[in-house]
Amino acid sequence: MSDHFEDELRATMRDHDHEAPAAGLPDFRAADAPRVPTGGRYTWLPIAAAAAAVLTLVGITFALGPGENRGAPKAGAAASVTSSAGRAAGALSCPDRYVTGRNDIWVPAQPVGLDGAARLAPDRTPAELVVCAYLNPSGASLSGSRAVTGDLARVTPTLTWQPRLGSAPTACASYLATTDSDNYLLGLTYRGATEWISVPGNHCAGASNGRFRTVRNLRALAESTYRSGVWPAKDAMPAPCTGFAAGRLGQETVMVPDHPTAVTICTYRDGRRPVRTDRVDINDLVAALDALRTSPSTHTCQGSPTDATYELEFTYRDGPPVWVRVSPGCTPSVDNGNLQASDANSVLAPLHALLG
Amino acid sequence: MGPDETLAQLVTTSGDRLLRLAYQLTHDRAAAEDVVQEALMNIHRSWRRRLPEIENVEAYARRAVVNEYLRRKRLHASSEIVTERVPETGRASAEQTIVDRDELWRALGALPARQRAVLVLRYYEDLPDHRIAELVDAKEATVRSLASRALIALRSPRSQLRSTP
Repeated sequence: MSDHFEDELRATMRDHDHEAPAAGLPDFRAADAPRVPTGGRYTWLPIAAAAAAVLTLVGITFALGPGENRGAPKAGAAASVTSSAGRAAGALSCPDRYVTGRNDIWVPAQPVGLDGAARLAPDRTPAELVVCAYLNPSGASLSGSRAVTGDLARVTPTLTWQPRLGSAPTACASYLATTDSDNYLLGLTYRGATEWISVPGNHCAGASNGRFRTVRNLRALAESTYRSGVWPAKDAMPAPCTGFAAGRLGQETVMVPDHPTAVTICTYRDGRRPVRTDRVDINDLVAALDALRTSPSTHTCQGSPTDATYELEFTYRDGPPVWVRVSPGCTPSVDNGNLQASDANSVLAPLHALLG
Repeated sequence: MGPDETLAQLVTTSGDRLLRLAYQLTHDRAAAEDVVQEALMNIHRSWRRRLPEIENVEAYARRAVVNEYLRRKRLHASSEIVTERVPETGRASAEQTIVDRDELWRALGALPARQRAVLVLRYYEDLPDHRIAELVDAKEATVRSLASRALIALRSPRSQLRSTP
């Protein structure tokens, strides 16, 4: 064995170092970095990946926190909790097993008495809600269940407006989610109707009621509710200009659906920190975006954005925001995660007007 | 520092390094991610049982990655008995047979799992043989033997490599 050959071996291995995948955290940081292309093909961080990234970072702490009591609700919580498999909590009884290893998302039963294909959950307040937890390491056996107390009206804006999963595959950083094998079921009871929402721990998997699948992963929300017995008052969203929201129902048919109340414009230019602009006089901008000729999003664009790239976060009175990327010079130039449009020219005038 | 902070810090500081090691072992990005993810999950599962005894968490994680890679290779050994020839260059001497690094990379990828692991740990991680022996659960003499056989295979253009350990 010669030194030369050993050197060749070392060099060969180092030559391929750059091909290795990067850990999740640097990717996650890309969410608050300007999405400036480095080559001819510019892949912007998919919404699902970014949203999942936030959840994953949070999940690390959750997953490793409570030691022996991991997965069990906090002591002293008011809500009823069972730890025996199969015991009922609320109107729906948690199944003993959560079925994993499928391409689709498993649910114990299809929605009954409501249009499950229209949206993740009906636009009305549930009468009862139960959370079933199937926790690490198996993720398949029932660990416990909890009947949720308090104001169940909070549930509606969060679940009702979750965006529909698009047709194009979305990339997702499938790394380092120690909570990926924690699975949850949300059992919702309405007057004359029931529905299960399956919330896989896999942060790339989204959630489903069996008929409607959303790109948004709800594990952190389910975990928080299971632990506290109360649905969170506010759905946690990334701060403006620091990440992406998963989006909102309706954005698969029109770029900015319904009636947003305000927009936050994040302007990325020359690799500098984004400049934030908040406006409420948004009618012209929304009209221009909604008039665009669109096609299903492919989550990529080709070319180099000129001048600046804009991220527009449209907020609503209830429910999650809509996030739209506008990258002049990169085709397609406009993308909301479900839809894309080739040309941003008609949008730039009202956009620049808001930016002053 | 508590266990959760320790593991989170491990990922922050060493996640990329663990992935690069896994990639050197698997030569496959997706497989490398799977190996690291499973290794970290294993650490998590055995946290209370093992980790307090571990002085060097990063070394423990590296070992977990190597073990997970070898475990997977063992599981799939029966489906990986297909042989692959070390590329022939037609050059005269053994030293000259593999001068193209792409060919050498492919040849490394065709080595049996334990041999490949030993070479990666020795020439990529620059670990001494006694440390490699700890990582692959073998005697130091076995490590030397595995390395020797791997190097002979890489230098022998006509040798047929089998992926069974």
